[in-house]
Amino acid sequence: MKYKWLLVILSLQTAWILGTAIFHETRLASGRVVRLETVPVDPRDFLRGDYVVLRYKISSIPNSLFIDGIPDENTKGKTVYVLLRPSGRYYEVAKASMHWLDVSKNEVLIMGQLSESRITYGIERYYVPEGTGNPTGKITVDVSISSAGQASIKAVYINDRPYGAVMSEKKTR
Amino acid sequence: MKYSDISRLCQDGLISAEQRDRIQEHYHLKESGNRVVGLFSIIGAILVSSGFILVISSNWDEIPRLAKVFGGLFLMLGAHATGYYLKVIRQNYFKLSEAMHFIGSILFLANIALIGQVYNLSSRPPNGILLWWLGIVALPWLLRSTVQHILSLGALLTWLGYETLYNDSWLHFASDQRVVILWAVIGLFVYGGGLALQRSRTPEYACSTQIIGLMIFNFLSLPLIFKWFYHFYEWEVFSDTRAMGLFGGTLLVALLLCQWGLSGIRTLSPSRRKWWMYSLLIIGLLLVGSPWLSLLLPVADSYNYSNSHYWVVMATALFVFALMQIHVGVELKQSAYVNLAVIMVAIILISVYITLFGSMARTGLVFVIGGVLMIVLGVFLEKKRRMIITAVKGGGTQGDVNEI
Repeated sequence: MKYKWLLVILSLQTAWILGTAIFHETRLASGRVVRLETVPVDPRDFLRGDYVVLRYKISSIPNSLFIDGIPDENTKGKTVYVLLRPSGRYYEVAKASMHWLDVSKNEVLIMGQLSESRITYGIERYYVPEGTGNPTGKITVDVSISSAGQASIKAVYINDRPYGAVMSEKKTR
Repeated sequence: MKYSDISRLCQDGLISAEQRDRIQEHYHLKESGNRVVGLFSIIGAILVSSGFILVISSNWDEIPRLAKVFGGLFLMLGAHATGYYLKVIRQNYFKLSEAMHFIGSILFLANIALIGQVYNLSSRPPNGILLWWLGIVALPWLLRSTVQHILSLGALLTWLGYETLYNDSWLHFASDQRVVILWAVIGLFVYGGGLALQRSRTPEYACSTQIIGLMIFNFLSLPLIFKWFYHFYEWEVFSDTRAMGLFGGTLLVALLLCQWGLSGIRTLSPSRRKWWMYSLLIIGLLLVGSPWLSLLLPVADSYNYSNSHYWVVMATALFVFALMQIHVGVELKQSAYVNLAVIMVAIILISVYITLFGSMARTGLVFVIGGVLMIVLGVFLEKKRRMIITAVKGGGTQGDVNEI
């Protein structure tokens, strides 16, 4: 009898692992892919362990782009909806709001969270193989955004070349 | 009646696997003679798991995402399946089976981390540990494995520890002193849980839980015997309802658990039970009440509390508590109680010596005297500890214990 319960527990563990994987795979496959620019961060904070800290241009939004009130102390931790529009090769902020925004054909809506001094989108960490977390060059990121506004990292580039390829070349040199 | 005899009865189909487990638990029968097998199995399983992790990490970019996920999943399920096969189908190599389930539980954590890395998730790290604990918390009761229980308890404590360190957490306190007090009370809570387990259907987990709880309670109470602990004490703790609610609530539940658990332990005499409960209550109250109680003692001036003499109260109380713990350990025949208490006594005596005579360290003589005293104290404590351990194991008398 108790081995049936063991089976239940293991099924739950498996369900979580597969469920999370399927959820993110679906989001990556079905989401709209946009390319975002990153901004340089303090090199001391750049690598913590084996992931790269990414900070985006869209992480800091000027107050003038908020259409319904400027965020303050009381809005910290709240959800913010950011409308992105293509500007050259990259997507940039068109407007932002604390409420859902309507999206036209060439726009995409991304959901973020207001923190101390910027907005986080849950795409601020990129895990890399050990010892390859010190990239130099312009970093851009392909982000897949679902229709609900949730974002996932699809690919990271250094000077428009895949991150892994650049870093493994650098390592073998 | 040996462990292997009961296993044989089950193998021959005379009793069911459930009956076998119940008989072995009821008579506290232990598997013998295959510790080396168990040890090698654990090392082997750890090597296989580490190898898998290394293969993935060194070929991170080359291995497709889903291959990483399924690789981790199959390894975890494989470990549990092997454990099940050895215990239920082969009905042999029980230690190896336990080791495989243990590795399977650790691999669940590895899989959570792997998912986080594969999909670059930025969620709070303590949530991952909480998920791990929730995933394995029922396994000790299903597998009847003490190792699983210790792992599960370790996961719970790791999660709580992570929460106390994490800035946005409900358990986070900027003041180190508050964290120390909170953890001492958590230790008492775990100890109370261990005592309560003695009255449950799984008394085999009671001892390890009590020792882990007592260890946390003892060692996290110790900082309060140091003078420096009070240098930057945040006195406004009593205006912090979250801290007071958390400390007071945890202490209350911990003491209720201790009371309930102790009332079922017949190996302790009623008077010893009563005094042990009083000791736990007093130390608990002294810990939680320290910010307020320490104000009652003379201080240098109203702005500088560094001269609060509360450390004297704590050192004295913990010294008496350690002596009581030795007596309880002897009656319960638990050498871990005694060993912990002796370490406590040694630390308290050395700390008090340094605090009282440290200011006189202008001449070399104080170091010479101090050194000699410490050597004598060390020999004395070790002699007493051995005497008490002999008494615990049944080779001595209560009189030997009373001497200390």
